[in-house]
Amino acid sequence: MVNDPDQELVTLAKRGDKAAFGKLVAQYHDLVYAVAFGVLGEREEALDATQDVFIKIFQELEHFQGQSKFKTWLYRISVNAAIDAARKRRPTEPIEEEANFEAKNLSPRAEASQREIRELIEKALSSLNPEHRAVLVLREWHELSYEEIAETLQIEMGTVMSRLFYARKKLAEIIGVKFGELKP
Amino acid sequence: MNERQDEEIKNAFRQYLTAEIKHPEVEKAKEKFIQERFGHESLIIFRPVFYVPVLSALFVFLVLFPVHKPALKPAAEYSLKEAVKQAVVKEIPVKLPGIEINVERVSSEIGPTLVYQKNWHNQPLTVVWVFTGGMNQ
Repeated sequence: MVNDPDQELVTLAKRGDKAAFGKLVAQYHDLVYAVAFGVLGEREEALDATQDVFIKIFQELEHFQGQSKFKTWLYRISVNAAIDAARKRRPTEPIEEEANFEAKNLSPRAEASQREIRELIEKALSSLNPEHRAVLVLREWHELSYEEIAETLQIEMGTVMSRLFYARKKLAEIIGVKFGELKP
Repeated sequence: MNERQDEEIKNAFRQYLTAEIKHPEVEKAKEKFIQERFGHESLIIFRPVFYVPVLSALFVFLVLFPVHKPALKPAAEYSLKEAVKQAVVKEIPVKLPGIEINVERVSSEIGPTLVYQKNWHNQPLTVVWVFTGGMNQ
């Protein structure tokens, strides 16, 4: 059993306390959505996947033994659910998400630049498979260590490092070259 | 790829995801999901755990002790037994013309003669008086 800051809410939720689980959802929605969107790259799909993850977790909470932290367990289920959803999707389905960087206080030129960066990131991500995108999100956005990523995905640390290396290289190839001229 | 470029790409990627997470549509969907699926518990009286047993108990009570509302049936449907049960006694302090008696009491209690009106809207009421003790009564 590990020392888990979410222990109390998890215990209450296990007893069927929906409000307690609602607090966990409020706390971790961004985390799960970031994984889902990072892997899937499409808002509607990512929102559906996020909701499915929380519903699944609530239903299976009684099986959570506390061998790892709740957050680690949540990461694992989120990544697996997002990768499954990405595999099930039709292979020709394009990513159609519009650019939506925060446009506040940006000049039209800076806004256009932001939009272009976003489009480049989307292009770079679409060139990666779901497993590579998952590692990239866990490392670059969630800032998990290699060990944590390995534990979450239940893969070797060497695999984590090679996937991350490949994903970063792809990003650099597509957006790195133009980065200097696009930055506002 | 140098370190600075690596850092810029990382920042761009973080900004890309942060902007998406903070998008109003996503925030709205999050709030709606939490409220609908895991919102505050409702008052106990609105929860099935409370109202289902209460309604079941009420149903059983009504089955065991039905509430009868008296309903008027057409006169023709009254049996003799029912007519007796619904005997009406009224004091009528009237004098009959030409007869030196006072009728102080009219009763539909059962006796040698039963006064029975089938349809009082269309037929005049026929009353048969039986004075078993003669006119002196």
